[in-house]
Amino acid sequence: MIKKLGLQKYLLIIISGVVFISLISSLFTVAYIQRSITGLIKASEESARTTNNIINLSIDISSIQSGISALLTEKDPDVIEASVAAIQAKSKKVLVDISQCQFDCPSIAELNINYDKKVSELINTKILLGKTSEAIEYYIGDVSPVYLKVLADLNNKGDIVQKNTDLQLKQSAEQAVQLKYVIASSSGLMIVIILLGGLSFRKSLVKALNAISEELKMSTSTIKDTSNKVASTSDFLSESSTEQNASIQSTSQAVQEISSMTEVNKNNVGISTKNAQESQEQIGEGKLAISNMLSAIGKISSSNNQMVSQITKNENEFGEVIHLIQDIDSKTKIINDIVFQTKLLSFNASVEAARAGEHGKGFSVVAEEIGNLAVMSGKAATEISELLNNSVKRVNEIVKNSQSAMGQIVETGKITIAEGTKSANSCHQIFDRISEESSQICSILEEINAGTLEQSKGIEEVNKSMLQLNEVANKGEQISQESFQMSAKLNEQSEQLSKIVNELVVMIDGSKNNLN
Amino acid sequence: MKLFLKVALCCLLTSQVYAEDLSKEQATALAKEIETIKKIAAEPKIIEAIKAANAAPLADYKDMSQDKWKDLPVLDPKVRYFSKNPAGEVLKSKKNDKITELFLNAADGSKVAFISKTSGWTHKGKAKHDDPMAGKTWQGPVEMDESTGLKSVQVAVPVLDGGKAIGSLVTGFSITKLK
Repeated sequence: MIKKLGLQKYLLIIISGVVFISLISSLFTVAYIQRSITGLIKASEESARTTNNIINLSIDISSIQSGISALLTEKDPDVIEASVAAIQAKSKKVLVDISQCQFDCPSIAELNINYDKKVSELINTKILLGKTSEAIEYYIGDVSPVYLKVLADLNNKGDIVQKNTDLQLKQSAEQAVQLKYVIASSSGLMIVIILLGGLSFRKSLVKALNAISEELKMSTSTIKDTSNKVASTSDFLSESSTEQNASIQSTSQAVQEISSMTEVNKNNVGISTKNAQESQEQIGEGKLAISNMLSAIGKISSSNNQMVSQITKNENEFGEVIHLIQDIDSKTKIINDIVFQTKLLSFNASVEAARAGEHGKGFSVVAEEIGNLAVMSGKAATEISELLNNSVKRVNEIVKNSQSAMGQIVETGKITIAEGTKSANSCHQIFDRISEESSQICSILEEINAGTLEQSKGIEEVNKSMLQLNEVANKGEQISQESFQMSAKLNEQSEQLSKIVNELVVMIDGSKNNLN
Repeated sequence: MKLFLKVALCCLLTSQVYAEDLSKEQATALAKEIETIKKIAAEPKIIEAIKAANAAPLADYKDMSQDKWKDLPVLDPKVRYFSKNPAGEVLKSKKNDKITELFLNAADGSKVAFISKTSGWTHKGKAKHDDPMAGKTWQGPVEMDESTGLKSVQVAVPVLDGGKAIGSLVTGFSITKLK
């Protein structure tokens, strides 16, 4: 039958039959219960309303009674005033309660009129006049008995309500018993139908389930194998992830070290650039100094030339001096001639004086003296002439020596200036080269700096990537661990499935001996 | 049954004079309370109220007698006036669980203020008023209060104005509370 209809259709037919019967019996039961409950609710509501009325009345009348009781011994006029007002309000409420009464109220209303009258009399003629003894006497002898009567009447009404409620409950209980029988019989019918259907269903189902359990067994075994493989793979993956993680971490550390080194390099390049720039400035200053030196050497050279021309000029002037000396020498010769002639004259004079005799004696002395002077002048002129000759010789020597010495000095100066100029030029050239190289170094350093910055950025990017890689690795490790856990769970579930299959087999076959 | 109840109540609640004395502890406590009452009697509002009542008796109470007073209900405006006037407010403010009654009499014994309606309109001719008017403090015997059923003792002190008694202040103390 199951094979013919299929399990679903077969089950659907059986369940539909059961549901249909259940529905019919339930509808019948519900209608019956509804009828019973409606009556019961009506009765309960009426009972509750009545009970509520009775309770409210009891409470209100009791509060009047207790209010009066408190008033009996009260002396404080403020309290008395408030209490009297409260009692009057309660009395009005009692009248409202009675007007809304849901049960047989006339007797209560009549009793309340009497009670109200007595309460008013008690308050107005006894309590408010301070007649305490009379008030107590009246309260006990007249008011309280009426109050007790009202309460007793309310109690009777309550008993009647209770009795009515009990009767309703009894009727409901009887209806419930009848309903019980109806439900029991319909349930019995259902059980028979379910039993027959179930037996037929069981036979077909056991067959189908046996086949399914066999297939499940095989599937379970396959799942177990697969889960074991997944577990080992996950394990391997986890280990790899851990190693990868460690490698990434060490790489990350290395990158961080490189990053810090790059930072140091960046700083050093900055310092070197600054130094190179300073050197270039100093080279500029050096070049300027060399230029200044070259111009100074030029000036020295021109001064040297001036000195040479001055020396030449001096030589000429020395020549003029020599000429002058030679002129003086020629003049000295003239003096010598004059001295000779003077001597000759003096001799002639002496001769003439001697001729003159006695008269020429004075003249002979003068002539002699002139002769002496001429001799002395001759001597002096000779000495001057000698001196002049010596001077000419000495001047010629000095000029000669000076000329050769100055020539040597000038020559040496020229050589030195030429060498200085050469050295300064080569210095200038060297400084030019240094300046050029320094500029090149500066530009190289700038390039290095730019490169370092780029490198730093690159390292930062690498660092970020490493962090991302680390995260990915961590995630990978987590996933592999989860995968491992899942495979363990899968394994567990496959074992559980295996157990279930075994239990299913036991359930189908009814004995554990059938287990393989 | 009704008759029995009436007899029992009459026996229980009828005012009785007890010859019993106060204990030493109660007497000490009462002496302390008398000092407090004297202080109340010396309060300006109390003195002013008595002076005013002595100077010009209230017009509404000119024809008041003991019988007419007894017929007035507790909540009658003529009665309520005495607990609502300034002196009455002072007396109410002094009320505590020891004090069962507290009232102020003018020189003629008529009422000036009280915390609850007194049994009589005037206390003239009674020691509780006459003694204080003579400048003395009066202490009554221990009595059973018919309204509360509690034993109490009354004390009256003069209200003095410049050393002269112009009225009396009567106080009732519950002796069970005197400790």
